[in-house]
Amino acid sequence: MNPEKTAKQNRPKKKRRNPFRYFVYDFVKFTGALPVLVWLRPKIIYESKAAKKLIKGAAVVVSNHVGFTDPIGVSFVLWYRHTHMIAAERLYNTKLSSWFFSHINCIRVDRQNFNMETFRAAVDVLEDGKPLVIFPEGGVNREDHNVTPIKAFKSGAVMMALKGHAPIINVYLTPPEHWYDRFVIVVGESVDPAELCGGAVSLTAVDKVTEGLREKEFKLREIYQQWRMRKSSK
Amino acid sequence: MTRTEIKDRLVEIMLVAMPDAEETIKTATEESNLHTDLGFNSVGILYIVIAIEEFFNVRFENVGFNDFQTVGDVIDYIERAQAA
Repeated sequence: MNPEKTAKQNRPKKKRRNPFRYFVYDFVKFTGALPVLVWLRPKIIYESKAAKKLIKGAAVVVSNHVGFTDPIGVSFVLWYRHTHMIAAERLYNTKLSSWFFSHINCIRVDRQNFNMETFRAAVDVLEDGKPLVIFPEGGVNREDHNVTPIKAFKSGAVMMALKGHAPIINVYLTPPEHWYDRFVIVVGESVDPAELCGGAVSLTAVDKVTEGLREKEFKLREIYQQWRMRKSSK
Repeated sequence: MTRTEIKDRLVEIMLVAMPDAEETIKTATEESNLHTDLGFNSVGILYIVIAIEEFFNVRFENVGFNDFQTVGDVIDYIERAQAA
């Protein structure tokens, strides 16, 4: 028996990927870039020098959810990557929207009855070394931003990061007061959820990490407020 | 694996998930509700499902987490998956 041949046979087969799987995503990205840049005029602020580093490999990007332009806002941060996003099932209510969201790398989630298929699809993305964007508030925060700036986070994002062995990056998106306001995005440093959980991963540890992510959002919000004050004092 | 053995393993998994609720979990019966009696939310169920998949070497297909209401529902599913 030829050992080289046997080793070759035993090697795990690489998943066959459709070479055009990002065609629609790239088309939307490149054709939409200029008008969106003109409209939103994004300003990206980084928490530190470490946060400025390019995001390579898998990462779970968590962000607050203030409006329908948020996925675009997060895409500004990751403009150089093919990002995947978790999207609510109600966005898939027509054939056209279902086709569109599936082709721009969205993973459908049933918020009322979460299933394993969604979780597996998300973990697959991470294991594939791609970034995954999640809005852990579970929907657009329509409450008064002065009273509830960030709603409670759901722990699913941490579970996905743990299972996909990916770091988590916080992003804070500023709620625009007017349609013509500049879109300001604050990017935090990445954190390792496994390290934060310590040795044993229990639900209490997961909840603690999730709460930590929410607290980080408040920290990023402060960074934005300081930037705004500096800007207005000039 | 017998139904009792599956239940014992499931209790072990639940104890790792929620060590604070040791007393409630240890006294759980097949009729105990995962949400109301044991206090598992959707992420809690997700945690249990991941652990079950790894431990029992089964795969949860086409099930929503609302499909599991009681400890018995989970045991039923594991039994069915192992038999398949």
